[in-house]
Amino acid sequence: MHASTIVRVPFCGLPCSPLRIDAIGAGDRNVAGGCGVARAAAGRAPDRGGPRIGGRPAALDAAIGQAAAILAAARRPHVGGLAWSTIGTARRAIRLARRLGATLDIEGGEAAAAESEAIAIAGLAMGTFGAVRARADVALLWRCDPLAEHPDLLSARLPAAAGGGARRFVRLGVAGAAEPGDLEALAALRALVLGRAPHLATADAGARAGSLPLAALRDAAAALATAHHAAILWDTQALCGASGAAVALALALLVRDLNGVHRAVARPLGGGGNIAGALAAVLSECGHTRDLGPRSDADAVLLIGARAGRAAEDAAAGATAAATGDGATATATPARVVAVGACPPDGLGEPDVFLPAAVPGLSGGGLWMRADGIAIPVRDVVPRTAPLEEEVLDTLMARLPEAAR
Amino acid sequence: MTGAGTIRIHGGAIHDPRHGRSGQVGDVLIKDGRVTTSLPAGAPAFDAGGLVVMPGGVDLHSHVASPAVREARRLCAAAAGGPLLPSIGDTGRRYARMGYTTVFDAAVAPSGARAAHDDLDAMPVVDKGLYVLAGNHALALRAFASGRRDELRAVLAWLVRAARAHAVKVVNPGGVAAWRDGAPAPADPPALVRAFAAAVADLALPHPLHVHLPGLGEAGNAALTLRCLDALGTLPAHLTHLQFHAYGGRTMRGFRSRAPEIAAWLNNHPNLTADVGQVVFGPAVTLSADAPAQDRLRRLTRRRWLNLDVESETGCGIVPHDYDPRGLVASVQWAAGLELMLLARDPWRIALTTDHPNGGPFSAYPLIIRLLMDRSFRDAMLRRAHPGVIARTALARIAREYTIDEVAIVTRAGPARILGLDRKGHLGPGADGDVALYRHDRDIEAMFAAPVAVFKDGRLVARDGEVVDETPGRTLHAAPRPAPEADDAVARRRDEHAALSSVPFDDLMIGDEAPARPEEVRAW
Repeated sequence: MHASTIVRVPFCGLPCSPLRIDAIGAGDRNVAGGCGVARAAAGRAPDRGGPRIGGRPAALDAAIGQAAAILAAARRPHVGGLAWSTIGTARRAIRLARRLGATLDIEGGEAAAAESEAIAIAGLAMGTFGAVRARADVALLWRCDPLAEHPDLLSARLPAAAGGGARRFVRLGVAGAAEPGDLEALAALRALVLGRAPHLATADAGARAGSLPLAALRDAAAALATAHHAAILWDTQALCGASGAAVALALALLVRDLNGVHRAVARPLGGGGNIAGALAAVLSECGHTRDLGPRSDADAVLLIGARAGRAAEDAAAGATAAATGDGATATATPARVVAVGACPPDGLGEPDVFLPAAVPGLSGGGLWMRADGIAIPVRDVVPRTAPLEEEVLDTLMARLPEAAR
Repeated sequence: MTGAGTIRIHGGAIHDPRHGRSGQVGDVLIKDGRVTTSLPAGAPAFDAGGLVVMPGGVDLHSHVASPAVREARRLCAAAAGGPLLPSIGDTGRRYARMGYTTVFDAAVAPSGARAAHDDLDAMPVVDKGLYVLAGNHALALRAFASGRRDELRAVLAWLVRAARAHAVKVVNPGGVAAWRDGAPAPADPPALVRAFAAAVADLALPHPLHVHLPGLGEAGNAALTLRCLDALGTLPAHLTHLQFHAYGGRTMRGFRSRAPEIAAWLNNHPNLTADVGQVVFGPAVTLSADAPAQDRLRRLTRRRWLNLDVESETGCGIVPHDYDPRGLVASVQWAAGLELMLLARDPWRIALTTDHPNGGPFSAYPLIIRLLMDRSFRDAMLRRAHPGVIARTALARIAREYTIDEVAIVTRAGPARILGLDRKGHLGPGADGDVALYRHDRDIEAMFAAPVAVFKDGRLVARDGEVVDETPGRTLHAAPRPAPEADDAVARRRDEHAALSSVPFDDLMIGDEAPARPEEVRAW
């Protein structure tokens, strides 16, 4: 039993401060340190409950067999989750999806997809967290405030090797959510950075540019103009909504513009979990991300380490619509769901098959990736009572009928 | 040995330059994955009658698994998944289909080594390894600045061990860090190259310092190249993608090849080896830790650019590119690579590479082999290139055609020797049972593109251009000569490291956690 453990786990995707995990008996824990995302992740109940079929306890072998049967029989299978799984699990899930002919998605991966789209169009100059910390004398925090919970992420002063001067922080927009008009605000900021007058369409053009006061944008542009090495940080919340891809592109173009005169880098902060690792696994295993995305007409869904049952709910709704939409004799049939993880996803209800698995970084080890692409090992810090997700997927793969394999 | 096979490859024309075999008909006997001298009469056999038998190919400089490749797949989405940026599975399969059984990723930042090993572990069939980037690592540069060779040696040994690398790679040493920090370029790049080469020589690694020289791709860079080579003196070093460092002219308008002078230097200095970095006409993806060079390229070509400053370790720049035969610069680059290959007298010291995907895809090797073996084909291609290439290169005047044995040297025997891999690149007793069987064909490109059969560790892994066995290979990594005092010296730098890096010191040391199938290569 690990009575008290200090660990560094990048549950939040950042170089987070250490977590202290104290066992207080019966599998319960006190968690301190780290950030809110890390504490919440480390505080989740691991490995509780055994395998279930239709909500009833079942032997693991029977549950695996049922899961394999459901997936193999599916005509439109879908694999999702993976945002809180190791890279090794993601690789196995991708191979499993390939064998099944299933579509694939990463839970909460919309912002990463938007960033990838922006990169493919405009490119992007980026820096890892350490590179930003070592050199950025001006940091623009676009609708984010990572320093509130990660004060060590960027110190108030530059390191001695970079001259030790004060680092200037420019905060634009309230952290936490995108707002209508962000695109116009970014366009105005780009214009100001380039020394041009912003094109303002609204009546109060003198006071605001889209979602933000023009004065704040002028100040930000002025600060960026004085930078030797600027850094632009944003998190996934900034890319929420229908304009997410356009906002990502605008941010990428801003960094490009800044690099026309001095060094500037972007540092997307991600949205927590191991989305970066799952995306890296997709890029490695598939070579591209063209086929990544949600599916609304799946008839069977495999959710791995998923936190929310949204993929399954979407699929179920889609399957219902598909079944009734042609006016034939079809009966509305929700997608069948196989869930692998410490517990079924929130809000999903009971899956058709539940296969318990260890929690990566807590009761299971593996490889995790920070938002800046640096892979970090995670290790088990509390006793494990369930198999690793990777082991579950290996067994599942082995149990698929030959035709599906 | 996991998944090792036993086979008698019977009656083929064996080309094994290391053992002086040049097409003599004979058998290659493999037992439990290794070449041996005898097999029981009932051992399984493969009829190689009428076929050319060679050791498996060895690619000593490619970019297939580093985090840079991951980012390139995002930047060049249209090319992702194709020959320039195949998936990790396709990478292994494409190499195997071509008769290559060993490949090294040539540029991995220390903090990227875990991700790179994870990728390499997922690559099927081939054996593999990586080189760790050190030439712009803040601790290494501080050690250099201190003037203490033992300090630099200690840092490099630590990086090799931490990353479980096969070799130390420097990329424009000091130049990338200066650009990254907005500082002036190093005053004396040749001194940096020399210092790193000397420190690596002390470590007794299987492969000498792997050098990406300063001045990549610039008109007139041959002068700096020659200064660096001069500074190396008699120190061993491997000069990578030398073609990209062999140019004359003061501007792009005056761009011309100085490859003959570079080749002459190589010929006269047996301490040096090189790979060519051959350009292939068509699309490419340039990705390099030489971020300032990539910044120049994107400004010059006005293409989109992905840059990644990696901690205080290195840089990374990615720019899509196109080597258009109608363009003067691309044509000169194409010709300069061939000049180097054809004017290098000792094929054991120059390896065939495209610096994949920088010069073009590795799958273009059969085309390049044809260019080397067939002057008429080469001349025909030359006529398709920009007309200025005739006056600005010596290629049209070079009559040499490679023999099949020379091809065997520059694609397997030589790279294996350069890498210090005693069991690769030959078919003598004890060698790994990695064998490629080709059918003679007047179309040399077709011959080398699709071997009749490929064996890996004695198992049939590819047949008629199709992979039939995807058992993953091993990851080869070096072990520096133990030096406890050096370890202590690095351990004392923990605080210094913490100020420079966001990656905990202990997390950089991979230890036994990766790679999945390691094999240590010792040279001491």
